[in-house]
Amino acid sequence: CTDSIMDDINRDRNHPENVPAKFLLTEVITSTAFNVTGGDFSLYASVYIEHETGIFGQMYNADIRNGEPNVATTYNNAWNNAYANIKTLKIAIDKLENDPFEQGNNVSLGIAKVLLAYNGAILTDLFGDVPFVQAGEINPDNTPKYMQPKIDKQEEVYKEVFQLLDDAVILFDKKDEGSSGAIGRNDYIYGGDAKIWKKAAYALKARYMLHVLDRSADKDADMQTILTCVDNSFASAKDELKFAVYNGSSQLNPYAGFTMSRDAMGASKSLVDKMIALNDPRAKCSFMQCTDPRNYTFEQITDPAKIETAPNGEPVQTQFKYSYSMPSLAASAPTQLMSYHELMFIKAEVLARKGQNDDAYITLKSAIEAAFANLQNSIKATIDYCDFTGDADPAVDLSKTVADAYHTALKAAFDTDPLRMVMLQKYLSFFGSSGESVEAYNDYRRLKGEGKEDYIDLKNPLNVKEKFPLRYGYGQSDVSANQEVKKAFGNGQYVYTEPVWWAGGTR
Amino acid sequence: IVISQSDGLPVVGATVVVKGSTSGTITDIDGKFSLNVSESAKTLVVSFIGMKKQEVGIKKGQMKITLLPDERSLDEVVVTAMGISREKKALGYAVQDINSDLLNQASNADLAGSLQGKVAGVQITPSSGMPGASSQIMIRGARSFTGDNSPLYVIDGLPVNSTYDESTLDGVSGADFSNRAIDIDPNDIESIDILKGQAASALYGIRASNGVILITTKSGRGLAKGKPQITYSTSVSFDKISRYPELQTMYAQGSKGVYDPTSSMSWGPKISDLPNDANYGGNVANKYNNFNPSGTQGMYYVPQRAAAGLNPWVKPQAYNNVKEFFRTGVTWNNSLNVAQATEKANYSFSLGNSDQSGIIPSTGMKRYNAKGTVEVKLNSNWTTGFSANYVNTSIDKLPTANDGILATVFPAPPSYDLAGIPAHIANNPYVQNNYRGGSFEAAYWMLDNVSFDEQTSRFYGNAYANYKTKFHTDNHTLNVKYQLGTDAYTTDFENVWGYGSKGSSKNGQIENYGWKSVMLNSLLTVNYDWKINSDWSFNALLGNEFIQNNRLRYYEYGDSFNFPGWNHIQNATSKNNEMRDLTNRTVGFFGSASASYRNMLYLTVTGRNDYVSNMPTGNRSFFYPSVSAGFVLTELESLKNDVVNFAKIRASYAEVGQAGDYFNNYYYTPSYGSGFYMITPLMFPINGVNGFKPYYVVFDPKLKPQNTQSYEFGFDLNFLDNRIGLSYTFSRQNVKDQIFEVPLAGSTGAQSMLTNGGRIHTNAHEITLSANPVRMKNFNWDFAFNWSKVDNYVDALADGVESIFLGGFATPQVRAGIGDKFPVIYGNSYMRNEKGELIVDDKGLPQIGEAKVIGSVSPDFRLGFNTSFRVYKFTLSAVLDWKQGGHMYGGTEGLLDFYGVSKRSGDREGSFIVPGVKENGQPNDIVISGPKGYQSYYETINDIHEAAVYETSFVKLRELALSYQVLNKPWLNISVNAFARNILLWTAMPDFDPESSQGNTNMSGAFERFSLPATSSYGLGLTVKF
Repeated sequence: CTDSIMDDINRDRNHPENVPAKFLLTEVITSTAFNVTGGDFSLYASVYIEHETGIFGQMYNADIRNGEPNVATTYNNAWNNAYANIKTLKIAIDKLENDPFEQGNNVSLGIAKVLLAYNGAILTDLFGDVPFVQAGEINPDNTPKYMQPKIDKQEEVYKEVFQLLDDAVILFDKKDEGSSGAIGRNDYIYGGDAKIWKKAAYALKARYMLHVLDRSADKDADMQTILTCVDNSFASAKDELKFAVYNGSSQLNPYAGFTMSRDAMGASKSLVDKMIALNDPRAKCSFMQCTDPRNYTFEQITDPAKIETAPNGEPVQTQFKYSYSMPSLAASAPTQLMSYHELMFIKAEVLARKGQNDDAYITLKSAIEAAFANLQNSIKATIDYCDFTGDADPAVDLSKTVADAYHTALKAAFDTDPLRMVMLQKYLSFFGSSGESVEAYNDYRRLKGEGKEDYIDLKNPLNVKEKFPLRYGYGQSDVSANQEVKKAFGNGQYVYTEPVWWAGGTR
Repeated sequence: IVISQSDGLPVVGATVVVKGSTSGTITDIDGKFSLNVSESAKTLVVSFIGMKKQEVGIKKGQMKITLLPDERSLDEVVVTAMGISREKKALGYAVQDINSDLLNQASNADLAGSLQGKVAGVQITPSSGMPGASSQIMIRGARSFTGDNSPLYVIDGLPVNSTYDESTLDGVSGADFSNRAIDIDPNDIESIDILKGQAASALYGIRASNGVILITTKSGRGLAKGKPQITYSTSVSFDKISRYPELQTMYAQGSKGVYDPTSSMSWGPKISDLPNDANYGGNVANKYNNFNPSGTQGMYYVPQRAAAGLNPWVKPQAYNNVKEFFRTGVTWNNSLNVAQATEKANYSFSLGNSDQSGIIPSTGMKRYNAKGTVEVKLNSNWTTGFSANYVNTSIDKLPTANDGILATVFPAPPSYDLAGIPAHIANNPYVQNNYRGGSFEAAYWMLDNVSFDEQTSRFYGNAYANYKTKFHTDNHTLNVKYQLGTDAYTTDFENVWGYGSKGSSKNGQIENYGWKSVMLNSLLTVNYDWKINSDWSFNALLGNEFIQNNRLRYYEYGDSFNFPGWNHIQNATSKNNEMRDLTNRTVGFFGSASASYRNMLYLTVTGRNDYVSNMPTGNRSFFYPSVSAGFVLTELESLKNDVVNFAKIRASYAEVGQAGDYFNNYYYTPSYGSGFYMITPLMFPINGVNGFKPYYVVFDPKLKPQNTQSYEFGFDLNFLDNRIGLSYTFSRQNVKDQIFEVPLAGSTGAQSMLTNGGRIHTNAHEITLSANPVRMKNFNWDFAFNWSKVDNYVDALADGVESIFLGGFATPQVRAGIGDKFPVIYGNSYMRNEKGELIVDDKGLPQIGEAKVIGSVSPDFRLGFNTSFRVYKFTLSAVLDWKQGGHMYGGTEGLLDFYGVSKRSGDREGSFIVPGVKENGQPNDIVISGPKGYQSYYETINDIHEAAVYETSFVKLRELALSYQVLNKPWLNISVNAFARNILLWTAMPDFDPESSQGNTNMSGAFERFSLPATSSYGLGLTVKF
């Protein structure tokens, strides 16, 4: 038996050794939306940021700060998934740049760069200094080039992120012309439409420039750049960067799949109280009670006073007692990688910071309208998915009319402190099933860095006992197998004491 | 001619003496003798070392005398590697053999079960008492962390598959998968020889580092020549759960003293107080009795009874839901064997069947075996024969652990009538009616709507031709044998969560999958014997083996059935499938040379070179040597005495390896989800397109085989006319370059790399002591002890890796950790101070400490005892098994306290103080009292995994059998027997049998969570021979 015969015998007939880059991008788009944006990162952020109260199991522990925020296993899955995306993207970029069969697929290359920036940014936003440059690099035999990728400073990761987005913007002016074919329907988001991808790249650039604004050498210029980016970006919610393939049966929104499996979240008391204080119409249609846990049937709560809210930081660990937020079972609601309402809030924030309050208010109005529409869509998905009992059929009206009445009533409060109202509304608009709690968490930490955390008044009593997680702790896989990360992680208590660099910390 | 019954071969050098005279002779190389005797001589006495002395009447002309092996003697012949029969005394390593009688004395249809307690150094870990349950057999500890540690099975010279095709993975959901050793019918086994050490098995090369179980089936060889012998045996046994947990019967469903009809807890009011409950009590005016309690006095309202269409008002009472759920399992075993030996040929045909129903309704196993073995002597040189086996095994299982059926049986509140209230609502069998909420399925609903089945059809067998010549000399024998064999089977699995399931995808799901496996084995051996002179003899063996495995796995998944009542893949609304086609080939060349001097000194060297396809280019060829020596001290004139009949010391050294399953790195299509999801929330294709990513395991192109070096020393002693035998063996294995999936830093983008890393060593001590204190015609008593202590330590793992996950949850989990005995349980510990005292919180409750090793799974030692006591026609035999030490995570045990259903948790009126200190270091004096206090205590320790780690020491009466020979005539032999198996005498675990756990992998025996229970069996059997 010669080696060549043995090679042939051992050839893996069941898997490809080579795959065109666009099929890799299909996977990364899916994994980014499902695992990174909508997955565990967002679930935990929703607890810390009090969009939900964790009332059972891991989420309960996160809420009462018992272990979960500071142990390395908590974010391990999502950590690994984000880096798997980075590895796949680096392979795709290498193919698109160097493989003659793939070269010339500029749009695909641009998408790969946007997604690499996106995954890198979310990692550094949550974890601070993280491996990035050496992460996911491979040798010609496909083994890891660096078994223990070294940690990059957050500032350096951000430089890479902006470079990738700038490169992408240029690529999106070109076409997919390589022999392996255009990305087309392999792109679940825009079907390979370079023009909209270019808008998305600008939107992300605006988001990330805002993240690091407090570290800017020239804030005014950067704020102007952000506004330019916003202007070059989405014209409406139709353009937003969202993953909208969930059909509510075999393909489920990750939050809905989680709730279905675990029933671990209850209606957040601090969130509901904020809504009630603002007479927010969302409080009247966003919550429901499980009327029979055995058959998983629900009743919508239309009177906000009747919402059985779970007190943040001190719920009783029990299922089916507290009310559910309706979006938590929105099985077919899309995951927002970058929403139109977020873009409008970014603009409103920058305008408010610049003191252009009238423009800020106009922008805030469109932001609230878009946010209402997004939440309405999610609640409708829940109404479709769940069985409801009770006297009245569940309903949701968060139409433009309702939104208009709402922001009109807010005008006076806005005028007293425009930035405060913008940030509070942005916070409320990220509640839901779109995976936007991480951005709310970023905003809160950014405000905290500026000493303005009271803009979003969190109520978990443990926060004042220095138990607000200022960051996420590194994933277990690196804490055990990457010495530098292990050292940086220590006993994990740093998550309560050290903000990330852009929020005023050192790492 | 004198032949041996055990192998049918001529007995060379047997003494033949005329009884009462001095005239005699010895048999020649063909076992032949001739003797001129006087007319008065009537009887010959024939004897040979290792055989029972026999007296035969003298006949004129040819006589044929068959000598029976003397099992008391160490001169017995055992089968060694490649089927070579050797005198046991010639071996330089330990082997242990078990005959059919010992194996089948308690009519166990499961081979692994029937070996328990009978062999030293072999650890058998059953997963449960369910029909067809997997069990792990490990000889002298583990060599691989995550890979296969089970021995190679060789049946009649053909290596066959004995492992599982489907792993239970983390072992926290789904059902068990049986291993393929389940296909073997113990009734058809003549004898088993266990090659424990690597020196014994080195000739099998890369597959044999875990030892070898050599099985010889019934062949008709050695039967008295003449008419066919027909044997029919049948047995029936009744199985029951080996241990019921002790449960409380006082308190009702609910929490904090308040009745709650959908709570998972039983921390409610006293059952007798239910009629006084404000919301549901019949003594109180409430909405259920329209605020008129006159007609509902002494009763209470049960919403589930209302949902099922029954009268919702009942008088409170305590139910024994656990006892009512389990039934008595029944097992029928039948086997029919026809065997015959003639001058030219021998054959054996058998049919066997085992039909079991499990103690959980809807579980069971049916197995049908058919076998034919034929051997024909063509002439003085040529022999040919074949052995063919067909097996059909089908097993009905149920899932365990988190989605297990028992997850709503053991914790069912005593106030709830689990068996009496239908598990579905009135008029709709697909809407469950359970005592609790959440994604837990109602147990009785599962019986009708959830099924996990497997079915296997298998053929294995071989044909051979043997050429033997003596070159017309007396001293040279050449034996050339060619054998071609196959082991081919298909196994089909079907897992169904029916329409209306909760833990699964909405409206149910189905998985159909299976394996088609075909193994081809070609084996050529050339054996040469040379009796050099009266002192020296020499044997050489050369051989070639070619093995090819073609395996194919299919898998299809479907979910969300369109409509109820037809749980079929074609009724699923979304589907997914995959196919895996695997081939591997091993080509081995091997040889051995043995020399012996005066029945005193024996020396053997072997070598084997394997070429395997499933390793990377350039790393496919490996050589494995072994050397062994035995020295029989009692052959020295100066040491011959009457007390010690036989004394031998032996030593060996060997190296054997294991290959990995290497592939070039590849891409795959993932599905999405995580431990958080009880479903697969997202999978490709989406909108008709599939995505691909690099496989999460990276394959190292520099992978080399892992290597086990083993040393073995031992001695064998026989005392007092061979009535007492004592063997001791010490072995040391050093395993290096272990192949496993080394966990990687996630930032590499991959999860793990299949590479070499890690070392493990094992020290094993084995002692067997056998005795035959009484040996008379009508009274015989013998017994044996098998003691073993196997210590398996992890010395190193790959750089940066501190532990390897074997199964379980994030915590608690079963893992291998550096410096720890293999394996250990890892999880949250109690918070303790430096003195080891518990630190309690301000409520006096224990607190969660660091996550660390909280238990070690391996026992300190195991002791098996078997005995047989024959008086006249009665034989009483017993096997007692003692396992000392070792731990298990007892998930159910802990949860019964948490749920408040255990008897312990029923003791909740008093008060206690947790021994320990307060945060300030002062001794704890905070009193926990009353039901609420107890509830918070058990809730608190439910998160401290250490609280649910239990010692698993036990003493079990494995087998107790009484047989009576009703009739013993040459033309008819009838015996009957009564037996009992697995009667638990004592265990350190409070409520459960420690031999029920999760996983068919290396986590087995370590982790319990709503595992299917172990059983005890009681039965009767009948054997008729004519």
